[in-house]
Amino acid sequence: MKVITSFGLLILVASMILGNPAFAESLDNVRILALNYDGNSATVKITWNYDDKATNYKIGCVSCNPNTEKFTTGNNITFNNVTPFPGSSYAMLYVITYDSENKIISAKQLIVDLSQ
Amino acid sequence: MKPVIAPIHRKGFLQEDGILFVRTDGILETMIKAPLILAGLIVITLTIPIQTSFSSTRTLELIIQSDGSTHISSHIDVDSSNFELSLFGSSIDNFIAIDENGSSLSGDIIDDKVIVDTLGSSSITIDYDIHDLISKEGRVWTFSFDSPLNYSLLMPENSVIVGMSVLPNNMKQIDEQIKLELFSGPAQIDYIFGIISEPTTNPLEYTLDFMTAGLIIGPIITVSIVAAVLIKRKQSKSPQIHVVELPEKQSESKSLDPETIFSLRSDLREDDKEIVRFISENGGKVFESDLRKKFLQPRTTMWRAVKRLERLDIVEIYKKDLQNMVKLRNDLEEEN
Repeated sequence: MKVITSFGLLILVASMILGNPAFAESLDNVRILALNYDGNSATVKITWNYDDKATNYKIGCVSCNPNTEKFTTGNNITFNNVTPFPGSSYAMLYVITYDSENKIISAKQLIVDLSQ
Repeated sequence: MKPVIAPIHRKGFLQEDGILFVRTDGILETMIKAPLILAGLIVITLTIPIQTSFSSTRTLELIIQSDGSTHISSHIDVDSSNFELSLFGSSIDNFIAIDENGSSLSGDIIDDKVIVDTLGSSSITIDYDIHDLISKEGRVWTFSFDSPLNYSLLMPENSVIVGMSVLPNNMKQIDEQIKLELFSGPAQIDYIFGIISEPTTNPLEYTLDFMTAGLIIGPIITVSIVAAVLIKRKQSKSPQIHVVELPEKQSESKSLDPETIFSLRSDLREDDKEIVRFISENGGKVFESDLRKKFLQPRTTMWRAVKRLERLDIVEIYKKDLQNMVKLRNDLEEEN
């Protein structure tokens, strides 16, 4: 009896371990890299984790004047001429994830020091 | 005497008494101008806001709440007892005014204005919630504000700024909230909330991955195995279970007849003899309850009689089906 119960539990645990272990939320892992900052603007490369529910991404620069935005279906983008807030080297961007029905799944604010 | 009209500016003097007439054109001009000037002063006085004349706002802080309201806090220097302040809208909640000592002050709100009784304070703090600065379209919230002075703006938790019409003087992050220092003038900030909790998966369609399969199949397999084992055990055990019954016929034939018992126990009471005869007539054993029913004796009386017969080794008492069975013994020996 004990052996059979243990066997059943083993099946349950094994299925949990061997199943889909890493269920990452949308935009859980976002990496941002600033390049070629000349004091006025920089090129920013952004990558994020893949989400099978997402079909489209919108990336925008809020510190840019005027505000700019781009769309992509991949999980990375290069943003040129990103400008920081006046008197600082910090830029503010955002990423929005959309599903197949163009509904927002998630959004994330990105604040990057362009001088680094 | 005819009156003599003599202009006052003429050098000649009236030689005689008469009516003094003054130049009228200058007076008329004065009479017309003076009221106009006075009216103008009155109008200007009435239209100039009192706070501009008697107060100055030192600080202005705004906090956007998650529900779309904005909390406004303002420190104002005042020098009048009844201070009138223009609010930034008419949809006002939770208005509080306190003086420099922290004491509450009374305030009457009329539309988008409030009159505060400062009680002589030189500095007051005004706090209130306003619902006129935020609008929403779809998932995008918009903060619109035309400030008379520089101010700070704290964005709500979990918000993501997606548009800004003006660039802030300064920006910092407090925990996970963004605080902006903005210049006076009109500003518009669009934001959304970062975590959208709406399910995006159609509940009618889903992919059966290995984890889901394991969570469903695993318990089913376990329960099935356990059930099968239990059933098998039950089937294998059932033939072994049988009721062991004593050979009653054999015991009946061997019980002594009452006369033999009476000869071996000559001192037996008559009521006890009746009990022995009854037991013998009923196969040599009866339930105690049957004896009570037969002889209409209370429980204690019958129990004493049965125990008396047991002491004399005439009967034996044992439990059967939770009742006392009284049985004639077949090994009665003569008393010594």
